[in-house]
Amino acid sequence: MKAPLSIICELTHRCPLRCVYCSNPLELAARSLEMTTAEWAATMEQAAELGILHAHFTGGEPLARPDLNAIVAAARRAGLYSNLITSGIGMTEARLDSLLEAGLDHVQLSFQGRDELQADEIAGTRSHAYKLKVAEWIRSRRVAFTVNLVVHRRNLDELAELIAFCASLGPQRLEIANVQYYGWALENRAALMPTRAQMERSVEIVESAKRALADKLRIDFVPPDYYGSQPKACMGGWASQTLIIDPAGRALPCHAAGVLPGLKFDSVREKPLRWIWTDSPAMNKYRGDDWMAEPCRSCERKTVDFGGCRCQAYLLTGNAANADPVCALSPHHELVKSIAAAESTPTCATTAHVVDPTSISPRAEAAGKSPGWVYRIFNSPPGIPKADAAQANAGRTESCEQPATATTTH
Amino acid sequence: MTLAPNVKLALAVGCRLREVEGQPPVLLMPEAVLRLRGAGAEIVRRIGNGRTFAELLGELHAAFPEAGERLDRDTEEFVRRLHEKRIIEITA
Repeated sequence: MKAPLSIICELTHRCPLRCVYCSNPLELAARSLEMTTAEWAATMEQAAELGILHAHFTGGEPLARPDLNAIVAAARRAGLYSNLITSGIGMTEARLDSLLEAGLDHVQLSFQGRDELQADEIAGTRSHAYKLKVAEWIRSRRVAFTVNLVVHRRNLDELAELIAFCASLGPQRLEIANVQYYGWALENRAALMPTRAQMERSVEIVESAKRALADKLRIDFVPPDYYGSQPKACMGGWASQTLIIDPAGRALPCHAAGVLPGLKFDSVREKPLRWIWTDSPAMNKYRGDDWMAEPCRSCERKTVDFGGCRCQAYLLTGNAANADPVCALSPHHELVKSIAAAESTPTCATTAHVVDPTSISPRAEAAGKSPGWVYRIFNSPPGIPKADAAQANAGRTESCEQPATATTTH
Repeated sequence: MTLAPNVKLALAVGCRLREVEGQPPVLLMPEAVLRLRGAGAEIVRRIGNGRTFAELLGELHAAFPEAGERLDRDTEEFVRRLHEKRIIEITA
């Protein structure tokens, strides 16, 4: 069994932001269940022994872990290349320097926009101004620096300006990712889905920017999913290139796999990482092609895109072994097309309206701009499904055909 | 166009060579790895510490006297390719 290239370490699900596009699961791991420093250090050793080369530290917000330095140091001791994927909230100059001292190789800093009001609305927290400071600290140190930008219907019309803004922060790389509809992003899909025109235009803008900035900035672009006719080779194949360790130590093939029924994901607290990767039933479930239904089973592209995303197949068709309905050959493809068309009108909004008195969204709401986002509620008890949390706060729901201004009282 | 002998070569920020006994050397960088073999490994090992292109060639010729004239061309081509991929920085 070939070793994965990378391990994604979700150190915590705690986060000072609540981005409306977040693909974290709706039910978050409790802090009390988080792996200890020693457990993460042992996992780094096992990862290196397995042949993994890259360790990505993410969350939630990895800076929420006071022992982050120690975990990064453990990765470096084990010989892994370490990458920090962060909002920047919780960073200070001193902390950055100590992380670099501990051996951190690469920092990815997210930006939700170029305008403070809009960015903070997407992040669900006042954060943009602080991120600008963090960007300058990173830029001024000798460390690989990537800016992460998530794009969607609300910001794609200013993509060229956004790229220029991100370039001005001084990174070597820019990752532009279209929203992937899992977790909170799925809840907010109706407010995030780009129009077809936006999608097509964005491809042109990115190609043009790549040429114009060729000697200054490397741009990686993840195109939107629902407009394709061929599905993405999700994660490079089920349990092939990467594995994820969640805050409680569960090993998953991807962020969303927790939604799949009937799968037990083993924990590194209980089983060796090598066994989990090579022999565990969950990691082997969708490897190879024995599990494939038609049309994937007979398709010449099955070794190219692996039938697309299992989680998306489950979420949209009810069966994880089906072809990802993004594929034009899927009998469910019309469903994806109709969702994309129905949920990408300019006034389309989410179907639930969540209110949090500490949220900044009421301010944007008053300006008539907010579509009514579904925000994660800070400090909600772990394990409470989003639906119950939403009901605790929301009024009546509205369909997305109605203008946002007609949404409910709360 | 030939690389000037006095240009300085360095691994780009975030690029790090990983050498583990018994395993082929690997160049690690953001979101990618480059597995090195043979001559490529020998070149990358000698990149850095303010070394110039001429000094790099000198060391390679000393280590591999049998390599001959091809070594200069092949080394320059390899360095240029890694420069295009932003793995090697070239400064005057």
